[in-house]
Amino acid sequence: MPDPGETYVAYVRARQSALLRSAALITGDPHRAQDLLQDALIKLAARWERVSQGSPDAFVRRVMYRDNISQWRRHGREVLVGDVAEGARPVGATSPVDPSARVTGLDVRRALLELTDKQRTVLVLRYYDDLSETQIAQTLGVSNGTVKSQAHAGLRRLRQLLPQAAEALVGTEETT
Amino acid sequence: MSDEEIRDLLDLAAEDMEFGRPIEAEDTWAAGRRSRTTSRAWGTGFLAAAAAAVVGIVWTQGLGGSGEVPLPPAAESGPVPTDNGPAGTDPTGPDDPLASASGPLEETDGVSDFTHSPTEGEAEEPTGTIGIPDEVGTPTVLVMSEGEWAPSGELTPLTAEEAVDRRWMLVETDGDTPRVDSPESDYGLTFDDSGVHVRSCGVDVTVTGAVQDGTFSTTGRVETVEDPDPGVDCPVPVTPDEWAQILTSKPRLSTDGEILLIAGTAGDASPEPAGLALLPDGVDDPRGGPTTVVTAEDLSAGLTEVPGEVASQEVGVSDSRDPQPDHATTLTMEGGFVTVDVGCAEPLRGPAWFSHVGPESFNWQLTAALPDEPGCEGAAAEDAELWQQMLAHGTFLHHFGDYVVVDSWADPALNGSGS
Repeated sequence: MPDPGETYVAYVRARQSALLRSAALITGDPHRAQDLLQDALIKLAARWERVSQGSPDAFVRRVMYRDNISQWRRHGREVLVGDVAEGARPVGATSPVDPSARVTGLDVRRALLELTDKQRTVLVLRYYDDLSETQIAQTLGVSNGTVKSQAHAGLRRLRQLLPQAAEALVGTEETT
Repeated sequence: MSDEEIRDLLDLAAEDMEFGRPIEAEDTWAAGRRSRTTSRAWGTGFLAAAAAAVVGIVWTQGLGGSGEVPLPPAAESGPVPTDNGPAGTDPTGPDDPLASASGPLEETDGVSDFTHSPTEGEAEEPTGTIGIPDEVGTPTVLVMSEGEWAPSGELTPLTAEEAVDRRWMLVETDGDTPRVDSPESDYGLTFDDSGVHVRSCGVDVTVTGAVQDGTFSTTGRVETVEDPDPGVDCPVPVTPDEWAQILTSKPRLSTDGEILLIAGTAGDASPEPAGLALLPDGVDDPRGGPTTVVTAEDLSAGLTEVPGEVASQEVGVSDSRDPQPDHATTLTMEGGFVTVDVGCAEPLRGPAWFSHVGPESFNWQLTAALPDEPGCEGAAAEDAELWQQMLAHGTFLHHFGDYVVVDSWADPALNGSGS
């Protein structure tokens, strides 16, 4: 039987980058995402024997999202959606965007922060983590219909915020 | 094609983010395993005690003194500006962060067992706080007073400056009038530059850490003096282990200037989101609608619980709890006390604070200390414990049209048919 410590370490090394980037997209704050992931991995270690038999990724995601909400409940919204790197400013406060301009990662991150928390979470889980609608619903504790409606609303809002990418954001709603 | 392009956009957003040093898997493994050990040492036989600690903790035995000071009612808050999204509701609306990514964290793939599973043979000595999850434990609130002052109103986060050079005593809240013993010379809870110290008969606990923005965060070990009062037979309503766990749960510290509320967690339970919906008395044809803030006037007018099924389906409370589908619990807040009637012999009643707790206008929270012995059994007792926990944690209240949405956290074991 493999040593649980070794399998855990292997799992963390293999998955931390993807989980971290996903959390950072959702929180908008890489440092907060790192804290969330670290806490989640500590909790995972405490339950590794049982959780490793199922889906460690699902466990970690759920702990992070729960802790994220928990932190908000304790300290207010400002810790849920943190500062975006590079001193980004809200998209809505800027001049009209040139539709021909190239979309940057910073543009996308700014736009994501303009979405509601649930819209942003659903889009990241759906299109970055490639979770199914049912998996997202289970992770967030909401109905499949809510996942669908949040994705629809999130994509619609992104189209407004990222006219450069509007074409890419058309038509995907039907597949959510 | 479109899906792929969206993926490309998100990949683009993620690829140039800068992070700190990679997380060392060996470190998180060690921390997680230590937390199992620590939890086990602190958790044994703790759940029942934790329930007792929620409210009505009597600090009187062993303290001596006769100058008991009754605590007048706390003032209630005023009206609150409107909000733009329902709390704890599923509907697509809004931007309310409470409605975001919340809801019950249901069992999935067998990975949602958040309770620790101790291993035989592990050490029993608490070794510190690293790895103890923030939200493990039964929501617990302790009411403290310096004794000379009465509650004066709305709570605000305790600051480091407010914390030092003061000494708070535990308040007994079970009776009709909360009472606090006059302070002994070296008894009570005190903060200093290094952390917090609790001393009472049979209790001598020091937790290193700091108060910041209304939260106490540990930075080191918990030091407990074994049998600090040898030969003295004094009941200990809050044991050293209980104090240690509450104070290391990153408790929220709030004060109205005179009273200190310590809202933390204790025990091994893993609280999860808990919600329900209420209606003002006299509303016969309730409708959902715009979200507005709940005011003290709403609370004093009285609210009645709607069935969990209605809360889920018509109000959109995603984490609805209703241990008693056939009973409509009522809630009223008057004169600084909240009364919750879950159908026990006597309604639950305790001191309560309705306070603005965050930077946003809609962050209003009702916190109360309800008695731990509801005087009933079965589903009603479960309902009572649910309310104890929700109000101990501090519950957010929002209007959703006619409805009032209650959004909080509680032990998932308190899980009625409405969930």
